[in-house]
Amino acid sequence: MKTKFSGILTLLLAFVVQFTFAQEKTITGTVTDETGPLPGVSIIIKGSTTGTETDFDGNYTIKANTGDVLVYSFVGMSTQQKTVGLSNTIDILLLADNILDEVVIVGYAQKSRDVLTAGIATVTSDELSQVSATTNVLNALQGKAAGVVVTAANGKPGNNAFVRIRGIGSANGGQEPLYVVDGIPVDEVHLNLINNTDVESISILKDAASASVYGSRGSNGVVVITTKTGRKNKKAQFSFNSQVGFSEKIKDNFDMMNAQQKLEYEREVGRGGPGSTIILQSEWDDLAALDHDWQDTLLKNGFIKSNGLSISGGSENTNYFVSFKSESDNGIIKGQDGFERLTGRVNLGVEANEWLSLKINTAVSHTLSKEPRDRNNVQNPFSAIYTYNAYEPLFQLDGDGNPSLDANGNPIYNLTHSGFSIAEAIRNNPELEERLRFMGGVSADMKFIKNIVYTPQISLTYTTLRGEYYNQPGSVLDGYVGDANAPGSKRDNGNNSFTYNLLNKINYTNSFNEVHNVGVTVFSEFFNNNFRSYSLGSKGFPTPDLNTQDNSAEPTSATTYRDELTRFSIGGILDYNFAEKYVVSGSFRRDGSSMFGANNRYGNFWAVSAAWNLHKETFFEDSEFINSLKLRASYGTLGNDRLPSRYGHLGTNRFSNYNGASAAYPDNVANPDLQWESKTSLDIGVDFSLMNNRLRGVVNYFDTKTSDLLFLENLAQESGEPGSPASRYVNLGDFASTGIEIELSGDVVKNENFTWTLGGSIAFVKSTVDKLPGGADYIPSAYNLILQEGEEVYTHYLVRYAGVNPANGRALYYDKDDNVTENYNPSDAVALTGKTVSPDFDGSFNTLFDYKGFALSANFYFKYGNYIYNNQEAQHLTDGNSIRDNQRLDAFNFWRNPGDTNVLPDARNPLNTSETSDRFLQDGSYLRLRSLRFGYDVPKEWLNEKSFFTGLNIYVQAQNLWTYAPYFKGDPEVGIGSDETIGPNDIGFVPGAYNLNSYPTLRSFLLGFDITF
Amino acid sequence: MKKYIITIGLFISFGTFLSCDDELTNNPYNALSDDVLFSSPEGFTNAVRGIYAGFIDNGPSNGTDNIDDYYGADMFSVPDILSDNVIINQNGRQSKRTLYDWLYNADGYSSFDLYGDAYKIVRKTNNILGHIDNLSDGAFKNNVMGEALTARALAHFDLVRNYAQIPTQSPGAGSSLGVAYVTTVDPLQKPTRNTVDEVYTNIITDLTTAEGLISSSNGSGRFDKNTVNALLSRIYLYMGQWQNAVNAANNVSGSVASRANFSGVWKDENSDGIITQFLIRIIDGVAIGTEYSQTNGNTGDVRSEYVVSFDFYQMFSSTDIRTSAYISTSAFSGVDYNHIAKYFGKTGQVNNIVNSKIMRMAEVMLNKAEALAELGGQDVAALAALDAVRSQRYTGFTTGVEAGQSLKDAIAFERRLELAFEGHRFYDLKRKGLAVNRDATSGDAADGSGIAPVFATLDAGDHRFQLPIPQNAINANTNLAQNPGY
Repeated sequence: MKTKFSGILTLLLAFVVQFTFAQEKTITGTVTDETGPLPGVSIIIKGSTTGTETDFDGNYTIKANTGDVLVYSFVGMSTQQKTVGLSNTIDILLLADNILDEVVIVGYAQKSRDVLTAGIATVTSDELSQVSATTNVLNALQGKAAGVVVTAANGKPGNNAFVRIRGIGSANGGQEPLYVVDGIPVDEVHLNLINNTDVESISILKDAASASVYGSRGSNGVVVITTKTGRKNKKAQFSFNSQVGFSEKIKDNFDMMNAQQKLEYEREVGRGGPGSTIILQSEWDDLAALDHDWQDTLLKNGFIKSNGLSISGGSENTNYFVSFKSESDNGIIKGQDGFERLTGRVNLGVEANEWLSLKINTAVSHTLSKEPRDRNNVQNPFSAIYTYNAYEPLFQLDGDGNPSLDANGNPIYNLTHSGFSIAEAIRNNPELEERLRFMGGVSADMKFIKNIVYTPQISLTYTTLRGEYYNQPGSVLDGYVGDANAPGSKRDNGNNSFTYNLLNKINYTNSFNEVHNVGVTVFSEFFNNNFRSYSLGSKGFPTPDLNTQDNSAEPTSATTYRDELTRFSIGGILDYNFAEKYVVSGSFRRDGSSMFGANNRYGNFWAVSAAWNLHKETFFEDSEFINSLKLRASYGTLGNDRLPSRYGHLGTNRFSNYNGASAAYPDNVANPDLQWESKTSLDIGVDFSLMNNRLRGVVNYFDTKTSDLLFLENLAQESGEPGSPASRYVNLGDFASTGIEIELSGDVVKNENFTWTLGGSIAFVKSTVDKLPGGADYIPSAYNLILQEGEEVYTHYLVRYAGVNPANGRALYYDKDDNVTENYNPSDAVALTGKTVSPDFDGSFNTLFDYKGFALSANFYFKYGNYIYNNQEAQHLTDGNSIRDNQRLDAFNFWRNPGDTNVLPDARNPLNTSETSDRFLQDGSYLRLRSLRFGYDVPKEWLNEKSFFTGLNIYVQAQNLWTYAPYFKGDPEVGIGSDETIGPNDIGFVPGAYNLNSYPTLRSFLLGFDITF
Repeated sequence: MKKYIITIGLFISFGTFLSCDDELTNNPYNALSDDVLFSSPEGFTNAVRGIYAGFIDNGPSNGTDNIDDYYGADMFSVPDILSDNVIINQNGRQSKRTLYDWLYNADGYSSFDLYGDAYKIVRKTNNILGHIDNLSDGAFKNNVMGEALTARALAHFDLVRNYAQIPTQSPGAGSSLGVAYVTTVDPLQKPTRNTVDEVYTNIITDLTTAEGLISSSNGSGRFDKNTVNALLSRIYLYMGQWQNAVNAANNVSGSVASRANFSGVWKDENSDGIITQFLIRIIDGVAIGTEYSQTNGNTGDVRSEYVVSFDFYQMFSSTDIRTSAYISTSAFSGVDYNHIAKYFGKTGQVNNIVNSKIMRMAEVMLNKAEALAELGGQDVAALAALDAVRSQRYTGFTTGVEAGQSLKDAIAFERRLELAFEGHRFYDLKRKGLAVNRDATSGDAADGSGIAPVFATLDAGDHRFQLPIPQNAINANTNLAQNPGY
């Protein structure tokens, strides 16, 4: 350790000696936009990495030589260049423009696109506004960047999305990218602390050159979220945003049986259910008359509203951005309130003196979510709507057909054939989750010697969860599972997670001979997280109305838990460019993680990259056709330490109880060799802007290889080792992903009154299994998926269905040798080449018409070629096996007579057991109108005359208005299948592998306005 | 000034370089290594309790899942569901229907997860035995070894009687595929299957070794010498070693539960006649009875998964205490059913939570009676053993007069009644090479109406008497051979 330290000191001293030689003149000036001074504008001497930023008043000072070209750039603004002449003052007006010219946050620095060597996609606040404000920020990313597949976890209000950048790069090592909010790493689950309207921009770092700066956690890409800041010397600007609307379940693209149909089906199949035994026509008619649609009975339209206010501005030495927002979306389950969120943010900049400026970002959010159960039975309302029969009423009925009443005069819920009324449970078994999240960061830029900035940054994230589950006395569920002597039970649980992140960086920039521009950054980073949780239970409550546990008769359980994670990194970045034409960059970092044992704790990661700005070459300089053209390439390595268990390398015993005394059980199998998963990544791309910037685009090719995959390896069950089934963490095998990404946008029409913009992106990505130890197949136990050398990652692994034997109505299957057989055998499962959980390609296209302030925009998202095991269909077409549950209308189409073809297996024959096979594996391709928005920007001149408003925009928008899914029955946007079966918190979770009645995707309609004053 | 501040700041921040290595060593707050666990007698006691917790699969104690299995659930239901004691209730949730219909295949019956659970017990025992020399010689060490060996034998016995033939089942049974008999802790082992004979030999070795080590009494909820001998009497019976079965039974001390106490045994009011049980408290939440039914405590409605089959119900006489102790007749959804009441709950409860009774004196007496009857020439002793049970079950019971085949039949008949719904019937048919013949004409209702079993017969010799090795076990250990027929 001592040597490392002295090495860095030497490096530092070297800089100190270096910068004393430079000599330039001092330029000062102010940068403004249409509304006033613009702080934070990046000013770089062209062809160098020397630069500065405007302060809160838009003022800047920079040393440059006459003839130097200064480049002024700012997110969302068109970049300007100015040659240094005789004057020592240069004032600049920046205008809003397209995305290619922006400054991008990369790693530990901001860079202009020109000197960027990496493939980075950026999403602006305008694009985020296309979706409902209540939506989690991740869902808003869907279709926004090529190579970034975003799948909603499910349709539950406030829920996250799964983001996968450039295919599947990890198995059990955590596949989600790293999220960095204003420089602070944040876990995916906590992104709900972000108010969408606070977001200035989101950058997605996809390749090694940019992501490797985040080394230890960047192997699946990095999503950098930057929130808004105020501007210096600007009077307070108020912005008020309001939305109101409703949501509904998207109508199924299939029909369930109504009462009459189901009774007829039961009669014909004759394997149970009232239809199979009723003899009297009057009884039959009475049941059939009870027909109702359980979707109408159990679901409602959700009500969405949000109101937000932000204030931004600044004085001489400070700038600020303050926002508050209240949002609610009560979801579509009758009797349940859904999701509420309150967010607040203060972003503050202080110029303490001439060498010290401080940035302080703090955000707090409170969310409250009433939780429906997400499990594979009628305790989940989205399972119940398909399971309950249309002839089963909501309430028990008396002889006259009126609801029977209990002693208190309340109607008694009908438990149905399933023995459970979800409507009753929603009332009497309420569950909620309340989260409070705080995030704060302070950083200081200290310009202590010319060309050197030292920046320490401290960030803290503290999140708490408080959950409650009350199984009320007198509820049906308590009657089944409760203690008769102490009815009612309550669970209060929660956790808190505290992270501190300490970053120190020293940045040196300089320019030599006017063309050699050099930048050096060295940094160290320390990360520590402590996670603690608790759960308390008790039973015996006097009344349903009292639910705090001090009312209980007896405590039943109490548990607490804690774990900890520490990481430490040091690294350096070297940037060089020659007159901004030729740009090269290199980085190295060494990461240590407490996830691994002492001998394998550290991993070394590096990247090199280069770019060539062809438009700066003399042969293109005068081209009217080409405005910018850049070629770039990068190669590097990235690491991943994200095991599901923080102590995965240790052999451990834990303790539960036997008859009230502690009892040991083995918890984890030791693997002292466990080490970093590492990924190498090659990225080649071209960025271009043509025809007066009317046509803009990016094309990328990438090739990545992950080796030493962190994996939960199945062990022989006879070993009896822990895990279900027995398993241990290993570094196992290689995955490879290759792909091409294309982003294009163009202004078809662009004049004073009318703009028509078209844009789109598409990414073709393929992830394959390169190598597995000993070449042996790996079959994760939770799904019918396989990892097999040469096959794509997570290929479906199923017995092949061969249709129905026309002679006898038996279901037929192929065995391993392609023989057709009536005997189903799971060992006949094969890897279904090409049918995987990942799409062949996905992307989006969008269009915007803007005429005199009237704007109509539409965003489409498409996904092609992924396969989903349709468990819902398997439950709706059971060949008579689940005769008591409602079935899909086309279940009638079963084999009846010899010679019948194009039919389902004979539902009357109990030998047809509706086995797991590719019969229920379906192509999940779809095209969806993700958002449609029509808005009107009231012209400024009207407002200024008549009111104090400075801006007013009103709009209507719809989400998920239209979907085209030709092959898939049900909602094709599948993330979580069934959370309680296997969810995102479970080891080995693979999103989109199957569907199983999770909260469905919603369609919503919103009316909103944004006012500034 | 500023340079000083910054220099100090720099040194402080780079100071973090110096101490980071220690920071990266995190040890869990809730777990111990083997070395620490097995460094004291208390640790061994903890590890032994871990075995018992594992048998009832109390929460995560098996290191598996939160689903209660094994002697906390389906070892008391599956052998009855597979045979003729019960019929599936059309108004139930259709749990384990695949097992009831004998339509299981290698991945179609995950609702019965004995395979993985039993080997998890085996691993716990082997880990204790592997560290046993950390203990100094003496009674404590011997007792720990005895308990571990007994558990290892029982887990393998449960495996081999489910996934393989029973020695007396067919002439070739002994040399047919058994299960892997595992005696070491090794995460990377990929054992092959031993023959049935090899497995039983190992079981007997472990039990007879344990018999010489284990204490004669360890208190309720643990194995002791009686457990070992009672198990031996059962296993020798399965092996057809009649005299050994009799001897082992004779070594068990205790008496059959009295008629007066009998109903209370199933409510955990007393433990009369119980040789070994795993203790389950209400707050443990391990609800064995859920295998058969759930009771709505508010209405008293019992919703059964399986009810007593109509023909079997007829065999319970009105003078038999078991009729009321085992069976409860009540309506659900307007239809009367004969629900299985053995596991409804402790006194006053309907939450299905009761102690897990794995060995009772009545079984030992019936093992002895059967072995004596099979030996021949011992009918008087056999009848005495049988009557030791019968006299405590029927009002006005007078000593039996059976002999020869009628005695054998009477023993089998009484065994079916006494051990009904306790996880014996399937093995008792299987080991005798008998078919399962269900009442093919009666339904699930108490009066025999309703829907009759779709599949009524499992022929003797059918491959489905041996459950298939789970496909995921074969996937993880390619050295395993699947059972014939699957």
